[in-house]
Amino acid sequence: MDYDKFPSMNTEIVLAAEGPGAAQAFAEARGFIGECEARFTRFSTTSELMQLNRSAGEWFAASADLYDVVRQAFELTRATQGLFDPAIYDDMLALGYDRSFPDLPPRGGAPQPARSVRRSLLDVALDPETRGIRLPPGVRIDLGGVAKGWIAEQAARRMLGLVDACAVNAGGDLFLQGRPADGGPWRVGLEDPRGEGGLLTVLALDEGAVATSSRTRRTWLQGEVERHHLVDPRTGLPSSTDWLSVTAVAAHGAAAEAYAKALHLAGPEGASQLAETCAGLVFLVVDEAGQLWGPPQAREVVVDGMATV
Amino acid sequence: MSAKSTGVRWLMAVGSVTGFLGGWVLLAHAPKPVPEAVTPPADVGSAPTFLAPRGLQPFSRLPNGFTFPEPRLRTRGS
Repeated sequence: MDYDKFPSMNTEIVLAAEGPGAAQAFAEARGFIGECEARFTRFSTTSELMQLNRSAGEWFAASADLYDVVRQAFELTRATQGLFDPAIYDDMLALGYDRSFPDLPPRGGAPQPARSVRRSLLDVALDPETRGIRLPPGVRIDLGGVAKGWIAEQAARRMLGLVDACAVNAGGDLFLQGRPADGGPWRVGLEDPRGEGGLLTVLALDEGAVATSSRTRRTWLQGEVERHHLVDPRTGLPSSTDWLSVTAVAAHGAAAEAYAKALHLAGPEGASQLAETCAGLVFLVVDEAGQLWGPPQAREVVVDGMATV
Repeated sequence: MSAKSTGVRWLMAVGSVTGFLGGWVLLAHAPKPVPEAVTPPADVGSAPTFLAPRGLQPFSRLPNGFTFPEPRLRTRGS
């Protein structure tokens, strides 16, 4: 297995490929991911995403990639009953997350009053014929909770035409294609959200996606209040869930990433029921004590010999 | 009606009322369902029990001294 690694989207991208075309596959994936970063970032006024946000209330002719991400985001907003909803752009700004994370000051200005109106992508209009998108007036979206999973899947699909098996890891959101030469399955470590780099367990996965949502990464201070990037669309505020992280395994990258977040927000009372709305979804939870939890089906993805208590 | 049968009927009436009240008291004070308590796995810290999230079961973490090759692919919150 050959590997390639580079920074993009304010995170680390890891590519893995097996086969004689690995170098070409890496170049293809690098180019595609670079294009996506420029297209989907909310930190550049010239990105296609920000052009769409400025057009809210009117029809916008989108590229095929942006249209597909927004269409999938809309369907996931509906499926998760709004626990995932990318219409949180203005909430992010109100929380002080108004620039690329490495550029955020250690301590931002004072917290702002809670918002009075909830915005949602559910009110978007989509036209598949023209790839038209009409955001509701006043709604601006942040694709940070869905785009990396989507990009990982699309990049992996491009690579697979050149190699026998490949994986794309976009900062913890992965898509796996084909089977490694040893017959597989793919082995993916699940990092301990309480520390730097330690593994809690190892997942054994076939083709598909895995993504993790955590509230222990990307934290900052707004005045004296600690903030994190897992924003609850219902309140516009960082979630107050008991869990430290949720890892979701699904057939598609966008679904894995969106459901990881939605399950996190659903919490101990609602996660199992929510998971039933996505066929084939399996998830694992890490609570504040570092304990792993999962539905019985999670046995299928945890490496043998350490599956259950 | 004989004095004996009147006494029996009186005792039966008292018994019925007492039984009804007793049953009501027992039902009213029956123990409420509590969240399922799960014994923690051996590799978890000092907490004596965990309240299981609905529909989920505990999974063990990697044991200390985990030796087989660590995967180069990892998932974490991004």
